[in-house]
Amino acid sequence: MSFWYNDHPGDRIACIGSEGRVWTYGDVRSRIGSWKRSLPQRSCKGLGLLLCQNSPESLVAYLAALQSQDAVILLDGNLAQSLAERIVQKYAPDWIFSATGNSRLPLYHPVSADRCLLLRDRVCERLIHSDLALLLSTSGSTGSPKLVRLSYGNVAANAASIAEYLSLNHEERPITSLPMSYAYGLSVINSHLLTGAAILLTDKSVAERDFWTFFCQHRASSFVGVPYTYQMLLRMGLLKSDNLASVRTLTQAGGRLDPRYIEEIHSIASQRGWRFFVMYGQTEATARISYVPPELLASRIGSIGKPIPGGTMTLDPSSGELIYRGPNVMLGYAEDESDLAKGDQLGGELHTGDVARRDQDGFFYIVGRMKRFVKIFGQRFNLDDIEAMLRQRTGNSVACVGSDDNLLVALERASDKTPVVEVLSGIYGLHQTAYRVLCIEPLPQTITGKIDYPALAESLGTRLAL
Amino acid sequence: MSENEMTLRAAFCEVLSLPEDQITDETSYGTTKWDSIAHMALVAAIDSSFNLTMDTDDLLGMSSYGKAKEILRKYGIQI
Repeated sequence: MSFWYNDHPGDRIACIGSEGRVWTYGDVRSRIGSWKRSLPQRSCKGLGLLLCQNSPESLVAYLAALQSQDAVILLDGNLAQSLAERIVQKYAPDWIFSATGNSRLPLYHPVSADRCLLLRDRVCERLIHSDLALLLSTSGSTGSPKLVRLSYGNVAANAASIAEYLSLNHEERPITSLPMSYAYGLSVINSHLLTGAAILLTDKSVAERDFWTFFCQHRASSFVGVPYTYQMLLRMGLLKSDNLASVRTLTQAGGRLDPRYIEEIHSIASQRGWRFFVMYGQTEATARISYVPPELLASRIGSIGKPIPGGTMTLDPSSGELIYRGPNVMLGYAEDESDLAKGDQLGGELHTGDVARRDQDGFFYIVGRMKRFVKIFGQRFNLDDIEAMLRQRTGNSVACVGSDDNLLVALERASDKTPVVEVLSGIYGLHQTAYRVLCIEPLPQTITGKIDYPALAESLGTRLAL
Repeated sequence: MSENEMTLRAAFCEVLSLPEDQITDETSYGTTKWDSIAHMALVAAIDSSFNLTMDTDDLLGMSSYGKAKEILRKYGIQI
């Protein structure tokens, strides 16, 4: 049985909200039942949009959507209203759950007093593929309308595989240090619901005392984070503190963690008797692709490990691109509403866009990238998308280069700096420490008139995101 | 305003991209642009401006501009 139908004992705790609300698996079952009844009866498969928080209500709405077999888009509830509206325009969801209850959208009306559930004024009949379960964004904070289409089989298979290699059981108590709209954050929820564990749901960040008070009070047993989260934990001295006394397992994914930090965390984990999993994945593979078994980490620092149970990894003989095959490979992408009718386009084979090598023992190492993107605080940003947005805003030539957590935007006109900063900070929500805007006149070009990125990167003294 | 307070204020203005008159003792985490990423940038700015290394408890306790001043006093900084 898939995790969205639970048959765990009704008195077992399913989740604890940050304000202390405790819901058992029995509570969750009955709340899913009433949630489903609040949606109008329809003759065909519908589409929902969850503007979610890490809260018991969002969890129930998510599970209710899966059970009722409506496809559902997950977006961060803190996303700027203008970006959420862009998704709504592109996909026209039949219903919207807004965890904060303060969404005002044209063409939608609230059905509950708390304004959390909104219905589309005009019911639209359209074909949505029966396999389509979930739509996730690959770059949450840019509100890009490009979504990853995941099937029921994808989501169930990845949850089971993760639960297997992490040896999860119902005694686990994970805490949500990442948003549930983010594939890695959601995978923590899915794999633990499968095993009947109690999930601690909070939106607080690890930089806040409230997070650790909640963490200690309910004795969290594991901690998950992207590279930036671990850098914060190290800088704040938290990994050595008593706050993590109840922890047994740490996992890291969402980008490359500097080997110096891996070694430092490995050393602390060994002393404190924790398992530390360094992992690799993509939203396009539901979440997880590979992991390093913690007992082998010391000799494999910098590796992304071996494939998860049920998956295989190979290298393209000519390009060296990492190819992943498994039951968790997405159906394909969606750009708008019309793609919802499509079925599986990949046949379980994912070209990851990462270039890798394999050592003699079968461990993989990422050595480069096929596409132009950078990771900023764990979120993927396509440099070409950012360029297109900035060009549109300024009406002038703009070029983006950079490396992870270091985006460089080159302009030809200094007067464009203000609108560029407005887009990066205001729309994409990037903190100013994550990017630099520089003036280079003229931008270097290739013979064919395209921007010469290697030359640009060299003149800016940065490593290319390639 | 003391020189130390001017330094602290400048760090907050810079990291939170706020004009100086909008920084008050009540300027706190979760409001304005003060999120976890800005928090770490503030920590780095304060550590280097005042040449100190705040401990875990202080890093978690620095939840407002007013709190930041209190913490700096603990480290013997007149502010």
